[in-house]
Amino acid sequence: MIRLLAAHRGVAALLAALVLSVSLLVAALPRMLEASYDEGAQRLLSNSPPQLTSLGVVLSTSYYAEPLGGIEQIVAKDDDWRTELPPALRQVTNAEKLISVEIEQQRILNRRNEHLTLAWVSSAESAVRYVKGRPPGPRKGNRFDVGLAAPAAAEVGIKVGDVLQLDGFSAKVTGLYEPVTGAKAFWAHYDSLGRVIRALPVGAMEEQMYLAGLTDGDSVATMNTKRTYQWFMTVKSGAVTARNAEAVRSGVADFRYRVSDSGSGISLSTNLDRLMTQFLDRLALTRTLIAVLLGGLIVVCAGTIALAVRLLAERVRGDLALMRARGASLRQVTLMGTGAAALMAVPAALVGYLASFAVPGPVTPIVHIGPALLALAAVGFCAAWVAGAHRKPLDQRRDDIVAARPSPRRIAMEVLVVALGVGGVQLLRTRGLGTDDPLLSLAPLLLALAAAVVTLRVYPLPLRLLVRLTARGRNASSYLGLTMAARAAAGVALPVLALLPALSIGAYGSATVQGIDTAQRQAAWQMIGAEIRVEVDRDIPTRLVEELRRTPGIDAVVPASVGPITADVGFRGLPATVVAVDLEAYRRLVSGSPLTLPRAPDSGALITRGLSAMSSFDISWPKQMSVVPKGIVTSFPGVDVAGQDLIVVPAVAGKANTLLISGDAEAVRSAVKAGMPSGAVIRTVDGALDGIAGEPLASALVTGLWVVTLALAVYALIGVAIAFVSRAPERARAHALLAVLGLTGRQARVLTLLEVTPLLLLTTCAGVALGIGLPALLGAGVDLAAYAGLPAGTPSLAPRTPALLFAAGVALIALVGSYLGGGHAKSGRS
Amino acid sequence: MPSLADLEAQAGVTRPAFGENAHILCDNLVRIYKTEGSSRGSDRSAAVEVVALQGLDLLIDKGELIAIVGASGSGKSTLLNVLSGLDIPTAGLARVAGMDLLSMTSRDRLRFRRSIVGFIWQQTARNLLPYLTARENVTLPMRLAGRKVDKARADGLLELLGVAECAARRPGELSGGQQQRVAIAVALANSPEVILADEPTGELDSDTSEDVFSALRGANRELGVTCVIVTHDPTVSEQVDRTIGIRDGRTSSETLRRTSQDGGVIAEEYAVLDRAGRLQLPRDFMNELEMERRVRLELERDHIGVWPADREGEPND
Repeated sequence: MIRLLAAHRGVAALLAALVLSVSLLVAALPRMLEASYDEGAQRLLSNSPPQLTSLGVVLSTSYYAEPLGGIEQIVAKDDDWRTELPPALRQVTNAEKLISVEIEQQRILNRRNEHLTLAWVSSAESAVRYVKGRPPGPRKGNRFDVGLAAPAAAEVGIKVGDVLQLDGFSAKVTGLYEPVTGAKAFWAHYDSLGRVIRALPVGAMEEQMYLAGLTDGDSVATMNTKRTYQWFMTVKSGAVTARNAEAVRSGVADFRYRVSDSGSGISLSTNLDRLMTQFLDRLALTRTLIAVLLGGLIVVCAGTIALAVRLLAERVRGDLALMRARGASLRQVTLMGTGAAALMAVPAALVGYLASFAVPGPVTPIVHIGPALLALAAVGFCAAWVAGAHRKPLDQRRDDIVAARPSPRRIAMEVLVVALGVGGVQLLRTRGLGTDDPLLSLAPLLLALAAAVVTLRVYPLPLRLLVRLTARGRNASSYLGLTMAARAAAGVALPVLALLPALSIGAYGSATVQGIDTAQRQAAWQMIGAEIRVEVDRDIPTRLVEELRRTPGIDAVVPASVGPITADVGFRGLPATVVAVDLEAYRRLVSGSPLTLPRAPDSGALITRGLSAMSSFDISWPKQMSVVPKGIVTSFPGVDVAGQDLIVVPAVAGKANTLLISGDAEAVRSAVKAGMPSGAVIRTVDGALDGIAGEPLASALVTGLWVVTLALAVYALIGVAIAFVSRAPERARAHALLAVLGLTGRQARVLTLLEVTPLLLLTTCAGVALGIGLPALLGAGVDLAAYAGLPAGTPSLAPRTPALLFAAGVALIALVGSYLGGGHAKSGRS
Repeated sequence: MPSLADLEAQAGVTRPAFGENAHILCDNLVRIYKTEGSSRGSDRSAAVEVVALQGLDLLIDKGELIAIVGASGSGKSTLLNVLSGLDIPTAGLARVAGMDLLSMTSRDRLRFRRSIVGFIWQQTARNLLPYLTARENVTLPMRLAGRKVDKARADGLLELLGVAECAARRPGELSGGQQQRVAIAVALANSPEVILADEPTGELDSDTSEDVFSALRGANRELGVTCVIVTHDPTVSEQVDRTIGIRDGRTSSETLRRTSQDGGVIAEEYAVLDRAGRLQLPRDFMNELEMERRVRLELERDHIGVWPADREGEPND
């Protein structure tokens, strides 16, 4: 067997290389993608504020509710809650306790517009460091000790020793503290303990200041007033993965059900389930898209490997036929042929599998199953092929006179594939792609196979017409080439079945990559609103605007004022966002970009529908003015209205907190730094795009699409090359005969080109048509906007150019290869 | 006049069946290749039949060395493929060494190929696996048959065929004649009863052909194996005891050779008369006498006269 392989080492090495690379791809790509999915989950959690991701059991009591007891009892309650955690949540939560008790906010009677909240937090001693005074001690009668954040105390002018009069009790400031770096979870949850919160409540005439201070635990826990107990269980972001995200989501629902009790005021405060839902929705879409492409890749790889196995089986056919004639049984011959293929395929698959461990990422079942199935498929196909070829011992078949009749079984199979493909896509259109139904995600692939089957049936028709046409002409090359193509029709099934899905899925993949890129670019522009955006928390001096306009490298500057206001609508007013900008100048600034801006009305303002009922209303910022609605606007680039109304008014001279700029970002940075040393935030479209494209799920999808698309192209070309080489002996014989009759090298190349062109052309056309048609067929099932942060339902982008370029590239390389190969075959024989 | 008792006794005597004792028997052997005509669309075409063998009769005794000759397409190779068990006849009777080739199961057929027949093809390279040595090639049929590898027998066969020095060489290192002699050794590896050779000297020059034929004849004489050689080569066909001509899928003639008393070889060519009384007249005889469609037969005391019919349909005198 080894000698048999040594005699055909070229083909055997090709088979081994193919199996190895496919095995590596099949094992490594899912690992890589799975790692990116995990990173996506972890990035989502780590980028979200900890108070949203942690599980907070909150108990709010009324005035007359009995206290839970002292601090000891409250801390012990944490263990009770943790026993209620479902296993999936228990695995992802930290053991660190974060427990607090606070009483409702009290007005400081001896100070103006100031309020104080007294709180005890379990790990405060490790999160704060007293810089003045001492930590608060136990309550003495109606007087509490309180520690305040030093910066906050300084801001409102409170010193150590001050006594703050509250409603029915007092709080003496015994110490001032500063936050300890490293206690991130503490400060994320109890940010109010470190700063003064300023707000203008509805109905208030003056700004109010809210302070929070630390006090003794038992003192606050036993106080007869409204208390809020909180037990936080923080989440280990690294522990949440794509594989346990679903369990975590359902675990949160389960935990909420177990702990919530509206009667006693216990609720679960967390956004973890919503974050997980958001992640899982995108993950499902990503996985489905990848499944479509991976399915295509696996079929194409399987087809290419089948071609290589067939080539090997054809090469050893003579040897095996001799053995068969010398008395080898079918089992012996099949074992010999299959063993030879297995000797190459199995170690190659194993090496590919082991090499995949060099790729970082979690090991999913497909990592083990993929290479094993691949090796099994290669060996199985070889066994079937060899057994079929040597079923009868006579090698010299009378192929010249015995023609195969179309088998009813094959026709039934073809009808089934076509029906499954069409039916699957119809189901997909109605049910959407993100349904997590693995069979449904195979529908595009089935459709590609159906198209291949139809192509195989249709292929001879134009060929016959061409042969008839060329038969009348005087050019022998074209007639002979097309006739050879027609004679080869019986052996093209496998190449077409590999090539067409490769072209269609590859074209679809390249169009999707381009679509995502376009969507991300659009989202980046939508997020920033201009090539460069400068935002300042105060008014920008006019001279800086003028200076920027004069700076070389800066093309245009449009000043704008963007900010929240309370529109004078109704009794309490209506919160809204105002944009004051010269719309025409802004339109000129972003012309040529993906942004579309509304036209400026002749006079008046653009408003959202929520304000459209008003004939006019007043606003006090950027200046006091009366707004007369003249048009409707739904959104505005670079402005996040967060569900509130939007008012776009003409620019107010001399008032701007935002600059919209086109030009060189570095020039803007240096000019802004010179004119305004602090407080300016500069954002660019390129920066935003990097952020969007760098998002793990999006980048995983794009990387996956690229890898799969390129792999499809490579395997499609290898498939074509193998199909080409398979017919090489026959072609060389024909060329040698024709060379005797006067065939030139150029004619031989043309002959070969014409032999392969009809099939390649028809398959390419069918593949590209399907690849371009797939986005339309899949319809709203694939919403690429989700990968760019664009609103759902943004029309899917399906550019045709990349698909055409992909297919044209593959077809061109194949044709050039066959042209050169044709010349080689001729020269090799002459 | 025989009495009634005599006639009764005569009728009761069992007469030997046709070819009952023959080592190779073909009786009215037919092999038809068919194309399956398409009935769809413009590809409509009728089914085509090619009758490669059309009622062939052949009897070969054990230990005989015979040659089969005939024009290209006359059915020689088809006959050999049938006799080797590689092809299955459509109808008739074919028996080799007592095994009925039409009713054999696939297991029987495998055993037949392993133990009963050995085969030699025309293409020297096709007879041997290129990556095995001559000795390994000879032992290959033993391995395939699941027998113990008998290297001594392999060496003995190579010795008998005059290629003992080539035992450790691979086919690529052997001349065409040596390759064919090794191929004969391979065919003889499992001690078959019949050797079938399809143009074994077709790719060789006359001197080498002579060597290869001598090797075959040596095997025939030394081992008593029946040899059937399909050939175009006169150096082969003129040296065997019997040469059978095949025309249009039937045996048409037999040439018998015997050594005269003075040591010369006397060859006598006979037309073959089948059991139905059919006879093929040599084509050149027919052409010479312009015989076509009809002939006139006349039964004489010890022979049958064949005359061409005259133009009016009357026999010539």
